[in-house]
Amino acid sequence: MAVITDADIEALAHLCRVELDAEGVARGRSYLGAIVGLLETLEAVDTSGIPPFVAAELVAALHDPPGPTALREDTPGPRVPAAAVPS
Amino acid sequence: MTRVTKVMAGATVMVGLEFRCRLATRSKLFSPCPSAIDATPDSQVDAHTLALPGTLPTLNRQAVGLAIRLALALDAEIEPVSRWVRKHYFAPTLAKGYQITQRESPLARGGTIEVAGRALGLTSIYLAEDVGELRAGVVDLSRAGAPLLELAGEPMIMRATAEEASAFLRALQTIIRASRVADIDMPGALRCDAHVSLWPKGQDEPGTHCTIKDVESGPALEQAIAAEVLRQTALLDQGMAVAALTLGYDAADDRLWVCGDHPSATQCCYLPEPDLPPLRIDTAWIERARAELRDPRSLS
Amino acid sequence: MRAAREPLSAWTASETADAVRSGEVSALTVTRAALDRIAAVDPRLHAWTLVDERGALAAARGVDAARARGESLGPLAGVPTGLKDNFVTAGLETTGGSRILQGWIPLRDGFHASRLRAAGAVLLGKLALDEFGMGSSNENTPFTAVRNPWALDFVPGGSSGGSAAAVASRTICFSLGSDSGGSIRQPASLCGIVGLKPTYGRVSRSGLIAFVSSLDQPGPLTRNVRDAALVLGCLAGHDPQDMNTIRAPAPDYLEAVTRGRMHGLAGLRIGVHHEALALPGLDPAVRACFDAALAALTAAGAELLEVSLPHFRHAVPTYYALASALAASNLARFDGARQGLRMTGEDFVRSCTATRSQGFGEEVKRRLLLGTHVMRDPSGLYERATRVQTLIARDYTAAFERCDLLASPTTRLPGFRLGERVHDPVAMYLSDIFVVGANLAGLPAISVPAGFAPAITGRPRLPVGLHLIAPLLAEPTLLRVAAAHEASTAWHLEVPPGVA
Repeated sequence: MAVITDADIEALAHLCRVELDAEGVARGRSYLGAIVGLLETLEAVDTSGIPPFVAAELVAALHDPPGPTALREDTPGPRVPAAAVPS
Repeated sequence: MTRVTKVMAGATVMVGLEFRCRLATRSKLFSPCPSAIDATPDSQVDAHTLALPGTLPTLNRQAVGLAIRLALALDAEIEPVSRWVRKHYFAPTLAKGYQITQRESPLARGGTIEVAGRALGLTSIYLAEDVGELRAGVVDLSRAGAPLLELAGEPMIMRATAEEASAFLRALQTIIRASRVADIDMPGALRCDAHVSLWPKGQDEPGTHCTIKDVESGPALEQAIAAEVLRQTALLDQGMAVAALTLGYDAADDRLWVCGDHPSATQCCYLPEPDLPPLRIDTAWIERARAELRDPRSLS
Repeated sequence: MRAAREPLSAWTASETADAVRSGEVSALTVTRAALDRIAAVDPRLHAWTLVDERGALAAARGVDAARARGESLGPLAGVPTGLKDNFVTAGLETTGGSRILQGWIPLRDGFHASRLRAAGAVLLGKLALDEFGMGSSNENTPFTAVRNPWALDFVPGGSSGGSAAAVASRTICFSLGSDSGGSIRQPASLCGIVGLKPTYGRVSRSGLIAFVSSLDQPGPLTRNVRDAALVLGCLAGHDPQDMNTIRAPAPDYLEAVTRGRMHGLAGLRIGVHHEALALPGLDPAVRACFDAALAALTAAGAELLEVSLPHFRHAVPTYYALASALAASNLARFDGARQGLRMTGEDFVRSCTATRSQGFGEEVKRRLLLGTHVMRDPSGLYERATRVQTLIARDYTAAFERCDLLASPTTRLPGFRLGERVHDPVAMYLSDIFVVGANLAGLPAISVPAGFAPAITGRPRLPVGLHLIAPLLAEPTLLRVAAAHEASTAWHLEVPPGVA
């Protein structure tokens, strides 16, 4: 079972740009400890030779008539109005 | 230059060059937003460029075609399947909080830039979307999302001067001009990053590298590398460590300035991009690109 | 056919559209009635986060004017609807259920609002959700938690809780929700209505605020199966703005419903995964409803057989590994620099951090921490999860060699009270065991009303759902079986006592 420390939580919080107070860090540690334990059960699965699932390839295989997913033609579309651009 | 030459004679200087070429498409890599290289600030944005919620990337076919053409001009091997990833970091110029690029699975591998008998090997050639620009604290997203072809060079050992780096940059400009994939004479069409590190005698590996970003001319590249070599040498002579920095170079003043800490590989998280299918390039497409290279009149 | 004197709130989407097209009732009358009903019923439920009365009346008048001009009206002509507030709507605030997007008014409709309007539907407003789709109870919200119309101190489910409560309370006859890990089907089950998640890629995700990009699917919540087929038909198809949409024509979903109602299920093989049913914690009343539903299906001619899904225990951890990482990725764009909440700071890091700390709720922050951990895990947790996902998908493929669809209850319990589960996220997550596999494998799935858990001490009478999963693009099979079940039961006709 992974041990998650306060320092781990603080480091993760900084990486995802979220500030936690002491209570938040404690709650985060308890939550992550529990869930990471759940995720670690995946280590027991034998995935040798099994490719990663790619949803986009699932879709591509279902095109009818069969064929690759079409790419976009290089035709410029509209810009957004200047008022919508953040300052 | 004499000071630099003396310094470089005493230590090995490692330089890794990465070029990014802005492909001349009419729209951006992942959205139909107009993509002119000379757009005014904030004039060239759409919902996807602004990363509005609910927007999804759509891949520009012409960008891929131009990428194949340039990769062939450099004698690279086109990969039949290449994959997209999200490179995550927070920056005001990166609206989505991630950049869509190709990393371990690039569009092409290998290739060479040759100058007067010397060759710079390329390790990978891959497509990526450009990020916005930050000028005096103000973000401009006109450039964000423009199609870039990234060319990663093998690390070189520089001897005596950095003239070699400049020669390769100029040779690449010539190849790009001939293949007509970019508005090569416009500012911003070809940018070069130089990763510079010193390898003092007696050390097992090269030291920490610093990255000089977005140099656009051969002479500027040569001067920037020289300035960085002097800077790092001075630090080591004083017994100080070289910190991993991202630097800009002001050619007019011959001055390096610190952009910040570069988001190193350990700080950026990568995820496979779920919104895009793997890019499949068949032999027919490669042959069409080869034909375009051979016949300049067919180039648009 | 409906009884002549039934109130408008009892009409189905099909009946309403037929009546508007024929001129029997005006779109304006229908919309006014819906708005009145929202005002009467929703203050107890809080399903609606925004009601656009002016826009709705204008749209209804537009439908009536088109009819007067002799124009042909769409399949949802005059039918009032609401969209979960993670669908982008022009001119209507779209918050994603979060403070961080409060105040964002999109300039343009997303795909779904656009398609529904083109079909003649009248958009009344936006519906409450768990923040950014993260949750199964509609309690993960900075706004007011939604109540279950069947029992006001019980949750409606989530994350499409508002979409389910609005339909179950008969303020509208259909809504749109989104389903990443059961978020349409579970609230449909808890609220006693129909909820459909299409095959991944069948309906565009353009205009849906992204959560788990590789699993998300929009879908209808309705009171009957025919309406689900009708709405799906308006949304299904290739969209060039979403490169992960299937380029294949949509079949006639209404025909599948008719076939199910009229021709029974002879020759159809239904697989039941007994190993999952045997897990401790399945409520006996839920089990009883499920057995009754199976009996109804076999009476209609279906054959039952046992199937094995060897990797089913790994579905929930696989889902949470993928979902948390993709959530962290998709929410990285909320930095306060553009739309929504904007906190100031000395520099970008500080303003970004202040915005996100103020703007995101507790569950979102937890998932960001978890997702960041997963993305950076040196042992490759994310990649491993996608390989286990392949194994799970293969389990279903193997099962579908022996049967035409799979059946289970939708949830393990008929419901829980507000506040009961908020402090136990792991228990909450494990309750997704029946629904999450369909998301991981990209399969179409539906929850339909399958009876009630009778009132017992401490718990009122609560709806129970039957869950069906079909092979890729086999929505017609789902709809056919769901329609056959509905034809032999009357669960979908019951009205929550508190809002009659």
